Amino acid sequence: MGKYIFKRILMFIPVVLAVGILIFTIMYFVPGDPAKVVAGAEASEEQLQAVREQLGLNQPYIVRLGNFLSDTFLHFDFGESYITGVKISDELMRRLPRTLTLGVTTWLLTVLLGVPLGVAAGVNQNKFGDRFCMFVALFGVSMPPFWLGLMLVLLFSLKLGWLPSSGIGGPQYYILPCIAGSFGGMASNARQARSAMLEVIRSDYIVTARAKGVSRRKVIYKHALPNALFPILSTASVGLAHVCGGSVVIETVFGIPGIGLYLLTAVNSRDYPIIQACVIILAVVFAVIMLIVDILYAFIDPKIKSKYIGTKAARRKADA
Amino acid sequence: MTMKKVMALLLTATMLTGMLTGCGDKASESAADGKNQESASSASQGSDSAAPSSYDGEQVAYISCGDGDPGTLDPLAAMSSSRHVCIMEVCERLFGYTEDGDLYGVLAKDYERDGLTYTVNLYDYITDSAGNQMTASDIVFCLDKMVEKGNTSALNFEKYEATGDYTVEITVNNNNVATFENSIAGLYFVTQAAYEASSDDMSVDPVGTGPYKVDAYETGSTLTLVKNENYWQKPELCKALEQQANTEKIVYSMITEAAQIVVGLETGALDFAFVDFSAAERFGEGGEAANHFCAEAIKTWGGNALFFNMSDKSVFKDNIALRKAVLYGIDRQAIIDGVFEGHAINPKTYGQTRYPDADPNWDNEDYFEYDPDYAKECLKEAGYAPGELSLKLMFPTSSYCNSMAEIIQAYLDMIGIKVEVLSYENALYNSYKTDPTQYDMMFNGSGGPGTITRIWNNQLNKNIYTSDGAYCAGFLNDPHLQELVETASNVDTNSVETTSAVHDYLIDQAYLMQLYVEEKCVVYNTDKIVKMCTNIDARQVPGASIYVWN
Repeated sequence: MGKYIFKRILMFIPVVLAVGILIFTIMYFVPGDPAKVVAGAEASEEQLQAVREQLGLNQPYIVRLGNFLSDTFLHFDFGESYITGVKISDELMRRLPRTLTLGVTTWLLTVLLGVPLGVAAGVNQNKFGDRFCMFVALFGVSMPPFWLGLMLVLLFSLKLGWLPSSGIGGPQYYILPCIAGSFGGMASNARQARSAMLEVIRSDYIVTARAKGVSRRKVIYKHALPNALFPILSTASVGLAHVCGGSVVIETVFGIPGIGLYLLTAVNSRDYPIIQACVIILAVVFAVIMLIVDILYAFIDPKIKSKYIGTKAARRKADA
Repeated sequence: MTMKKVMALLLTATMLTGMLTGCGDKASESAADGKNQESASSASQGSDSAAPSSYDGEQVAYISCGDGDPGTLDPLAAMSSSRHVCIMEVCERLFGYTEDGDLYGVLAKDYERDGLTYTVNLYDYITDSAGNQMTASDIVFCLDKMVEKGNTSALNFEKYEATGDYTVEITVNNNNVATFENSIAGLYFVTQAAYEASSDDMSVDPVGTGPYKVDAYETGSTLTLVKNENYWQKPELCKALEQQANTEKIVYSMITEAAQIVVGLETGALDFAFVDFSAAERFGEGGEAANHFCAEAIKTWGGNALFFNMSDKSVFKDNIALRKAVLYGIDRQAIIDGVFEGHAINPKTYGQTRYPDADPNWDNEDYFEYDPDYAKECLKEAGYAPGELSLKLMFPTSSYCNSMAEIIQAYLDMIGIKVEVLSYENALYNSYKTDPTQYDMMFNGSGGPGTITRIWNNQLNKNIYTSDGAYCAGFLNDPHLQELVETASNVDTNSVETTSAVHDYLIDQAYLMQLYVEEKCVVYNTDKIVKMCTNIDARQVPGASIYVWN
């Protein structure tokens, strides 16, 4: 198993490196001169040249790419913002916990609500529960998070006064953003869980178990659900990466100063170092999540497990 | 049947939710439901100035920063609008300026002028909130740092030196009207000791000489200022609004989402904010929330002008009739009514007549007044049949600019000119401004306090607009205009006549047209704020505002 994990970690390196090269190249070719943003619209050409020189923007592509890769991956230094001059790594350290708190909590909601909803729909196919759950799922997928967020703010902040409308502070500040952000993912998880359950409960071994008199509850939770988990896990894991990486909408609507908002502001002002740093951090978060999922797969899927169990005896045991 | 029941149930739930969120008259009461409820008793005292009240809550003002997170609070870096708001009560300037363009001392006691050199005398008892004394050497240190950090206002100084403990000599690098005044009044100064003690160039913990000091800064979220109990200046010598401290604490919120700002006001999370005029209706007279809020329009110096692409291959080059066709085919009042709900000034010159060096008589003259028949004649004279010409209109993305562009598109369509609207985000827009292939017409924003000749000089003096003096905004390159602008801008030749010559020539040649001069809408909670102060730059000054506890 150690070998499997090691291999996965090794694969992590080229992925992050490729993301770094890709984002740098995209930013290099994208139109818009950061020197004009830094120096101001009324700056003379002479002042612009001075800014370009100061920021290293007048160097050739390959030199800049080399400097960027060396600073980022060898010295773990993302540099400073072109606009404010603030050290980016310090800012990322302040913002990352907020994005992760928001992302992980949102994801937990999508799983804890979405999967049971889907399972309930699957085992009650074509009944009231199924239709109700699928209607809720459709509703969730159809509602844009920013619209839902504003509706929740109107109800819970403005009318009822129960929760803060925006900003950061205690846990109460994360309740509305998490609910608004979780509806789409919850709906996806519910639909995936329903499909997976329907596929499994039609299997022969489930019919056999029922025929042998095993209770419905036991068949569902002990035999059907574990086997339906693989596709659910895939969807849910992508969902975690999605909520962490796609937090920009929720962070903007609720004024949460996380990575998403930082990235959005930087894109508007062509602050290349911030854009590159945020994308790399999000790529690392995504890669770590995928790594964890792969390891989880290895633990719950005997086929993967058997490939990496050290001894031949154990492999034989697993095959048996 | 079951499905129908489900649908009915869900529809009922949706309607109930809609009723809870969208209806009812609780909105106006909700300001008092928030954390500012304690001040509700004073609401009706309204504008009865600074009468003592029985306010027993915490003296804290929750203010919307307006322009979002400044990113850094470094007072010496190139300044942004949001940073001005955040630090102007923490750090101080040498001088402030009046609407007439005169300077008054803040850190400086007075100044003398000799040609291009200004001798500035500082107060000799200035201390910052950390107890460091400020002397002339601190001013020189700050100017050095500003130049190093690319603060463009400081680049107008050719040299500066401390000639005594409390005396600094500053020489400006040109003889244009109000160069020193415009440059110096936008710069903040701190002590060298405090700046060097900060590990990050005061990006999160500025220590200044102002009446407030930073208590906490959560980047992107809130900035909390508390009163500086050891403020150095005597009350009777405080000339600037920014030198007052009428509340114990100020909390700036960096909310940028327009809907959230309105909700913040109504829930009591904000006591003051700038809002769109369309959103301000509910806070104004007769609005649902009028009992607890006041909405006011304030003047600004900003606005947009329509510039033509005057490069060699442009259709507008050497075609004055076509330029007139466009300018006379646009109804500025329709833009003001449609986009700004009537809350903007219909301009009469490039810039505005509120500047001290603008001639007030221009207000009584015609300025490209809407005349579609004349516009059609001009189009014919320009050699174009209706529907033959298609033009690209470029502008920076914003709701205002998008709406303006659509209105202009509709008006020009009526005289037979097709317009393609091109909306770009700021970075791209600024790059394309200097690319003659990207646009035929563009919105070009300009403004700021000072003088009208400063605005003209920045945009229409090609030696200032580009380092090689090739062209000015919109690739305009007219030697006669250049001469007129230089004459009007120079201290020795500036007069009503030379200024009017530029104004008249711009109209005669139809080179550009100011579309509007912006007004802003401020909304504040009257349960807590009796009178909200804004300064000459149309920025909020919560320390100088009058509260129910004053």
